[in-house]
Amino acid sequence: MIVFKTTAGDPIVNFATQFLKNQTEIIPVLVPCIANRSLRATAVAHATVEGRVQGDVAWVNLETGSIDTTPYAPLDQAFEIRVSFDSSLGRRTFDLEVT
Amino acid sequence: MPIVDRSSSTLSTDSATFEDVDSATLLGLLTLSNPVALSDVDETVMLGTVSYAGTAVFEDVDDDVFQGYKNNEANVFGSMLVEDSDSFVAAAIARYTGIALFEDVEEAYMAGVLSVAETPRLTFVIDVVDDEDTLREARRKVWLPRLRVDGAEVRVLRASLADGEDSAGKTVDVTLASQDDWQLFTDLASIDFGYGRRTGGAWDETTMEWELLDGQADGRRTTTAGEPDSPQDSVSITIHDRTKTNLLKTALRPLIIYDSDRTSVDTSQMDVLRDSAGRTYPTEAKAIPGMKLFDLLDEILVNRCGFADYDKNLPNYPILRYECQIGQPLYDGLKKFIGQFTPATPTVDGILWIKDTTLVAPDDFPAPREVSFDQVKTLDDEDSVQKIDGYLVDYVETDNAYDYTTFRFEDGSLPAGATRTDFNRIYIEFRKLAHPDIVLREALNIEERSVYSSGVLIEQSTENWIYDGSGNIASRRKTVDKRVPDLSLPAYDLILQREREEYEEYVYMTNPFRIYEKYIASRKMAVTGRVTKDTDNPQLNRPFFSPISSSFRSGNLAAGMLVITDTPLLAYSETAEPLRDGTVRVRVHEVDQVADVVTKDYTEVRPGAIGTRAAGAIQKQVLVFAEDNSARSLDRIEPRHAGELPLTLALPLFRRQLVKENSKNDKIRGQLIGYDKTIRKGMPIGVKAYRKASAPTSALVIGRQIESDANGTFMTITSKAI
Repeated sequence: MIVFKTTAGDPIVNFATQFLKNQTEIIPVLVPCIANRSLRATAVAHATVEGRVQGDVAWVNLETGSIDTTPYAPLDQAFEIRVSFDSSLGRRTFDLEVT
Repeated sequence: MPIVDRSSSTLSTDSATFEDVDSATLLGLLTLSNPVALSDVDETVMLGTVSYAGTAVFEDVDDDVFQGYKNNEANVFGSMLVEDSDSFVAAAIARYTGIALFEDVEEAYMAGVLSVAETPRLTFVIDVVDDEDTLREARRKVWLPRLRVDGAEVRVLRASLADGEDSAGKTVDVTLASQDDWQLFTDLASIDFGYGRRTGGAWDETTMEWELLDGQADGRRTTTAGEPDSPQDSVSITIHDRTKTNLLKTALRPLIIYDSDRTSVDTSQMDVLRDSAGRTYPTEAKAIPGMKLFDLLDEILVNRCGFADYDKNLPNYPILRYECQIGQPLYDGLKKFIGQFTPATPTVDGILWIKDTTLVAPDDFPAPREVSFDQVKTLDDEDSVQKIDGYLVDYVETDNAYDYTTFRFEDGSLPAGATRTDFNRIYIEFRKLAHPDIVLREALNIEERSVYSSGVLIEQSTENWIYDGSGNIASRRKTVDKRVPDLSLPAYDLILQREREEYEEYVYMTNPFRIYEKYIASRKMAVTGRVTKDTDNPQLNRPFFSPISSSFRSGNLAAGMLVITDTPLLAYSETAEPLRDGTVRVRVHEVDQVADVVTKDYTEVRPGAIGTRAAGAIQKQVLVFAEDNSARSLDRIEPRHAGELPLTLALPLFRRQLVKENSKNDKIRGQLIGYDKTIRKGMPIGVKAYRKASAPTSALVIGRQIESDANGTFMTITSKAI
């Protein structure tokens, strides 16, 4: 199974937690990079999902765009995922995928 | 033009490139380690098994046919990129580890099973809350037990984790939710156990706390209970931390590790263990010159038990000998050397710690943290006051266990009839710096004797004993001057002359059957002296030699007789060998070197113990009191064992333990709701008395017990006040 991993190297399939409204949180994660594929996020309301390779400066919106993982394939590469929430409360679910 | 037509053989090559080929037919097994590239090939037929790594690129190929498979195994392809092809047929079972990309292909027909690599996915479930309080409330969720076997989640109903005082590793007992899951717990299965929280049915991975990683299943308990219509069957598995497994590692052969500077071990003399089939298990003896505690811990814990590392706050003291029987845990043999410190042995980050619990807050450990009472469910504070007057400490003095020597002089006179023997003796006294008033033992160094007969000095002798570093006699030298006629003088005056010199050497070996005993393995003596050579009265035409005192006493001295000094008179050797049944085999050999005749030559077996001097180790006792005065109370004195720990280290250790035991003996047991991963065994904490304003009691955590089920987790901490 090819899976995402935490920065400690443990495989992770779910990331479940609580955040405050109007906040922006940065989550580091190890992404399994595959040739000819890109990192994307599914669309989610009331939140914006951005990502960048650890060490880069610019953020890429993963809901509308993607980051090509071919340069880092077939290894795991550290990415940072930035999630920004607006003022509405409730449960937000989205997926990060390498497709 | 066909390129390759190998219908019945294997073509194995690095890469295959086909360009501008009208027709390519590949039959048989084709194994490539690099991509296949076909360009401008009008027709490609691949029959048989094709396997390649990398990307297969098909460009401008009008007709491609992949067909066939071998033994029901799929063709394995890397990625496949098909471009500008009018027709593409893959009729076979195909498995792609990369992606299959088709561009500008007018017609593609893929039959069979096509499985493409999965999409890795990470699902985020985030509850967005209003304010900090709600956030805290939302985060302070119930801790639940989580079990993973070889990476797969296994649901549990209940779990109980013990991280106790005596054991160095953790043990987890889990009751499985699904009884058939017991089959997953094979001997090789790698089991992880921890506590985590769930949000929206998903585990909160970032706050997941794993108590046990790569543990081993140790036992299974199946309970069948309840009525047939309401069964309450359950299966429980016991899981061990592998560090506990490391500590249970046993010796495969009887093992002795010894300090070769101070003792010797001869395994050839030892009993060889056999099994019922006659195979032998000889004792393994490992020499570590100048062995100290840390050398022994390195050898046992790192080299043999398999720990990556260990940490300790114990003193590094010299150790003579470590033993472990076959099948006995190697760690148990260490308890003799570290037990005096009443150690706590928690594992922190995979490193085994051996800590002297009388020393508070060892290095590298977290600072004491206060356990607040709102988390505490119950608090038991047992305060049993002990009043102990002191300890009676048994300790073992081994060779080399003296620090300095002093001398004692003794002289006297022994009259016997008309004769008198005056003697002067010098004794060596062996003492230790820790207790200079005690003479450990004394040994005779030099003795001078003067014998007078009717007031005339007739003999003077000096005997000198030389001791080795262990305090055993190494050699003896004696010179004897006797009053005999001096044949070189005209009146043959009676003058004290060197009559003989004796030199004796001792060799010691360790008794293989009694570990702390040494025995004299050999004694060799050589005597040289003054002899007379009688040529006037030869024996059978040969001059007759005789020691001068014998000649004098026999009346054989004559004028003109030659006197030769430093002549070998006697050679004596005695060797002893301890036998397994407790007897001793002694061989004696003596030669009269004056006549060159062997006077003694025999071997005999004598009954009885051979340890002429149990010089290896002596058991001694010393009293240790908390206060250094002579006032004794009526309280009891408890025995303690210091083992081989030198008194300079043992005395302060036992004083510390005595003070601790007399002042604070509280055992505090608290039950906390939930799970606090930061409270670890061996860690100092401050426990505040419930509803009291007093300052927190400093305590050291000595054990943890964690019980959890679907409703939550409780942690019971046992700690000792310090």
